Amino acid sequence: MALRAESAHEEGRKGVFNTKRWLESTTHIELNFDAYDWAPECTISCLDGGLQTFDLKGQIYKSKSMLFVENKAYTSVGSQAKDYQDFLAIAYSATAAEISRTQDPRWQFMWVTTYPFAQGKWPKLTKRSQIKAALEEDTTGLLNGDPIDEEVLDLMADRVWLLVYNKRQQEFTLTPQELNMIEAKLNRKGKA
Amino acid sequence: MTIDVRGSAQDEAPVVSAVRQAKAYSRSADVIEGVKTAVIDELKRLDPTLKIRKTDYFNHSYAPDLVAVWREAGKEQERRIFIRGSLSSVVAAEDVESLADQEPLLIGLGDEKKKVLADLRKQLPASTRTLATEVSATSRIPTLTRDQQRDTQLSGLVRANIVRGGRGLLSDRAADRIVAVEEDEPLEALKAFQTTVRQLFTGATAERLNRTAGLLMQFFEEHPSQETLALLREEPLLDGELRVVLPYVLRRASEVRAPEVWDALASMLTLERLESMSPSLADLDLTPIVARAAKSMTAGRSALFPNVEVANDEQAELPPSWKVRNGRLVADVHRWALWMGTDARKIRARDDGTDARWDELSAPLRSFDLTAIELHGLSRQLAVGNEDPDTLREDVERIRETIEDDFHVAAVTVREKGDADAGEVKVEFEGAIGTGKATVALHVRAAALLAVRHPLADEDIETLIGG
Repeated sequence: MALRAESAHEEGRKGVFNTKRWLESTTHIELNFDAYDWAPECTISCLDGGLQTFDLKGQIYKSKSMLFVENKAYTSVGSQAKDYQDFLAIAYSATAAEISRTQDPRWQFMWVTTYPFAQGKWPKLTKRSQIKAALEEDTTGLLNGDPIDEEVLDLMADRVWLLVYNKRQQEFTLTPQELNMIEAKLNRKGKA
Repeated sequence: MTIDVRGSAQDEAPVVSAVRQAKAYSRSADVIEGVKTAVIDELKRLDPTLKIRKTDYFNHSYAPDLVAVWREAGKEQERRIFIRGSLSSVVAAEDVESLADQEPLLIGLGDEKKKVLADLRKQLPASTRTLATEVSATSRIPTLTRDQQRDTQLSGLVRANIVRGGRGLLSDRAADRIVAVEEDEPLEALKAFQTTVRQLFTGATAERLNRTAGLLMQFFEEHPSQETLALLREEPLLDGELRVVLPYVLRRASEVRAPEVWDALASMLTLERLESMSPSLADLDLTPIVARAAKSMTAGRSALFPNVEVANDEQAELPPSWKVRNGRLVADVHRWALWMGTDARKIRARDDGTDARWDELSAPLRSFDLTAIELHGLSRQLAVGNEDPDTLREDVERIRETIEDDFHVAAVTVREKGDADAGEVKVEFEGAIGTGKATVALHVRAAALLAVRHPLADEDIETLIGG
């Protein structure tokens, strides 16, 4: 599986923290855990019992849902098209596994890349059909032999995010100093 | 590198162990709560006077995890604390630059390798007011067992300032250098300490610590700067400084090579200062400094009681020495304890002192100017005073010859021979005390009259008050 922390690569690590800062500067998201220092927190289990670790884990304040982020700090397209398919299949498999264990975890999954891929299919990449296609093409046993659950697929359709990040976006992002000034006023966390 | 959760818990510092346990919780909220509590406990261990509040954030890019609050010069001060999984993450996230305006304390939960620390150093500008450290480093600074020592140890002063004003990188090595200043080889340790202090602090804190460390280094030099020593006589150290310097030097008395160091320290000493810093001087031999200050320090009360601290003959044979006990200065002189206090309330009189006869006292009193005497007979009590000591001695002899009674001496008032400036001590034999504003030297010699039947040896007195 491709979804492993890029611990061997310093650039990958920097990329993860760039993405973390960018997402947190939206004031809507908090990413408390990263795969480098908090691997168990960023790890979820799939239908086949296998464990998958995402680069970041946190929450989206508004929906109060947990968010798993996979980051690709690439300078070329690489094997992203295939890796992204794996990502979709894992998102489904982990959610289905959790539903069967307890209840719908309402997890959301985000793919952040510095280099777009599969541009011919770009508008459809987060759609239900793509998740289904990813599961059908999966050869790693993420479904553990189970049929695809259409209801889970329906749930997943709104829970996948695909964002492109460019380092220069930092120039148009509020600085930590500015964010500190408005954080209390915005009260995104809904503190009493 | 993160903490190895499989590793042995033996020899682990409490904070490292608490973090490891917190990271093993299954619920994220428990992990966050456990880690924050572990870090708070660690920072409060360094400075118990801090108040530290938790925020609603954890490991956030720009919102702190904790805020340390304290009062300084009547104003509330705060420092934002960011907990990071490791200093590697601090480097990768470029936290030093992005959080610089908050002048924060960044604390990593790991124990990083040299390479990461070198990368971090490159990110820290020389003028930074950000402190980056990790629990493996802070945990190397041991906990003090006594609260009083917190501000009386050089390393304690650093410890108390780490959260409030530390800057730069506090690595394992820097922490070791801070702790080592309390070890042996003071000159080398102080040099390393001073370097570390320069790197870790700026402003008034750095200035104060540097001055203290620099001064201490002079004290252990074979040829200390005479200029520095002279300056000390003109501008004595502040109480807070002396409270650190004095115990440090006394603990390493054998390393002091120049006698003038003791003279310089003695010139700053008063009995009031000694009493106020007594907790930090407990168990130390103060003789090198008190003996030199005996002629300049003033006491209001002295007493000579049997020494209850002497448990055996071996202890009784030890040379006399000055100490502080129960907040007061005391000299152990074989089987006697010679107490000194700033005023009469500090030492209460006993009621089982020995009486004294004129015939016994007459000779030892010749080394003083006798200004008053109280004689108690079976039927009469006489108080005789005379500014002329020789005349007073004659008066006493005349009284003994002309009045038939069994007189004993209840009290004598004495001065240094020909030196009224040294003060006056009234020695009361029943109470076994001496009272009056006078030099410690006069008090010692006067209180020695209380042991007239088992006189203190001249060399013992010389040890206590100098030649």
